[in-house]
Parts: sequence; structure tokens; C-alpha cells
Amino acid sequence: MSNDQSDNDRKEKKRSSDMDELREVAEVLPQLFGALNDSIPKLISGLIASVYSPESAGNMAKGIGQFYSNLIAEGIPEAVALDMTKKFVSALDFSKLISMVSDEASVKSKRKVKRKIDIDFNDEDEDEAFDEEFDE
Amino acid sequence: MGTARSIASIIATSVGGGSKILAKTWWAIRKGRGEVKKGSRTFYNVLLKAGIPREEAKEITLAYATPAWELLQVRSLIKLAMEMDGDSSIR
Repeated sequence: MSNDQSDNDRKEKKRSSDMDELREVAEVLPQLFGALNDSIPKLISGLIASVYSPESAGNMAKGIGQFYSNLIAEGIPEAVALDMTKKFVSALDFSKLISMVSDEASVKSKRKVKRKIDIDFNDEDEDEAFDEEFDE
Repeated sequence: MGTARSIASIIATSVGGGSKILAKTWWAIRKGRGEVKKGSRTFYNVLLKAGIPREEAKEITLAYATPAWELLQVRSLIKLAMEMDGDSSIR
């Protein structure tokens, strides 16, 4: 008889803890989606704006144009100057630039997670915090 | 709140939130593509002004715009997210 009662108590406890868990999830879920809603579009537009905004594009093209004009001004034949400009542009490697920016974005988000997990185990974190303070 | 109500709330939030994220991501991709187009146009015009011939300017602009265009495909964004997830699980 007492065994049945303790079983019932255990079941009741388990059910109430499950309900609590479900309630917590239901309460936290909108916040999680809210955060994702903010961060994903910001990540995409920030990534693109850092390299492809009209200002940065204009500056980059100005640099390339300056390089070409300087070569022509120095008396280098047009065909050679064009070839050199193309090589200069291929050395810039825009795909690398984009992957660098996206890596930087992922490192920033990783840092936040990492800091929570192993703040006591890694001396590098102190260096990162130091760097971040000076970056800001 | 009862169990059934909690489950219904979780399902409704997931469906609603997921759709909102999808729509916002799609919109951000659209805007990003527009930005790349504008940036590339500016880039091309500045190159032309600097005296670079049309054909070469076009080639250089394509080399500049292609990586972003590829990044703004939904597949590569998913790949990026998976890589980010993979990296954090390893560390």
C-alpha cells in the first residue's frame, strides 16, 4: 500500500517537473526567436556592408584606379599596365576578403560562447578581453 | 499553464518564429544583393573614370562581385551556419 503511494508520489513529482520544464521552454522560446530575428539579418547585412557598400566599393576601386593611373603616368605601356592591374586585383582576392570578414563574424559569436564555457581554463581569454577593450 | 497549453504555445511560437526568421533572412539576402549590385556599379564607374577600358573594368568588377553573390545564396548561408556550429562544438 505504502509502495503504491510512493510510486504515485514519484510519478506526480516527475509530471510536475516535466510541466515546469515545458513551461520554462514555452516562456524562453519567444526570447530566443527574438534574438535570432535580430541577429541573423544584422549578420548578413553587416557582412555585405563591410565590403560591398557603395562607399567601400568606391574606395577600393579608387585604389585600383590610382594604381593603374600611376603606372600609366610612369610611362608603362597600356597593355602592360592593364596586365599588372589585373594581377594586382587578383592578389587582392575578394573571396578571401569575404571569408575573412565572415570568419571574424563567427569568431565574435564564438567568443561569447567560449567565454561562458571556459573562462577559468584559458589564459588566452585574458588576452582577448584585453584586445577587445582596446578594439572598442 | 497546463501541459497541453505549454506544448501548443511551443508549437505556435516555433512555427511563427521560424517563419519570421525565414522571411527576415530572405529580406536581408534581397537587400544584400541590392547592396552588392549598387556597390559593383559604383566600383565599375570608378574604374571607368580612372581610365581602365570597359572590358577590363567589367572583368575586375565581376571578380569583385562574384564572392558576395555566391555568399548570398541560401545554400552557402546554411553552410556558413553549419561551419559555425561545427567549430563551436569542437572547442
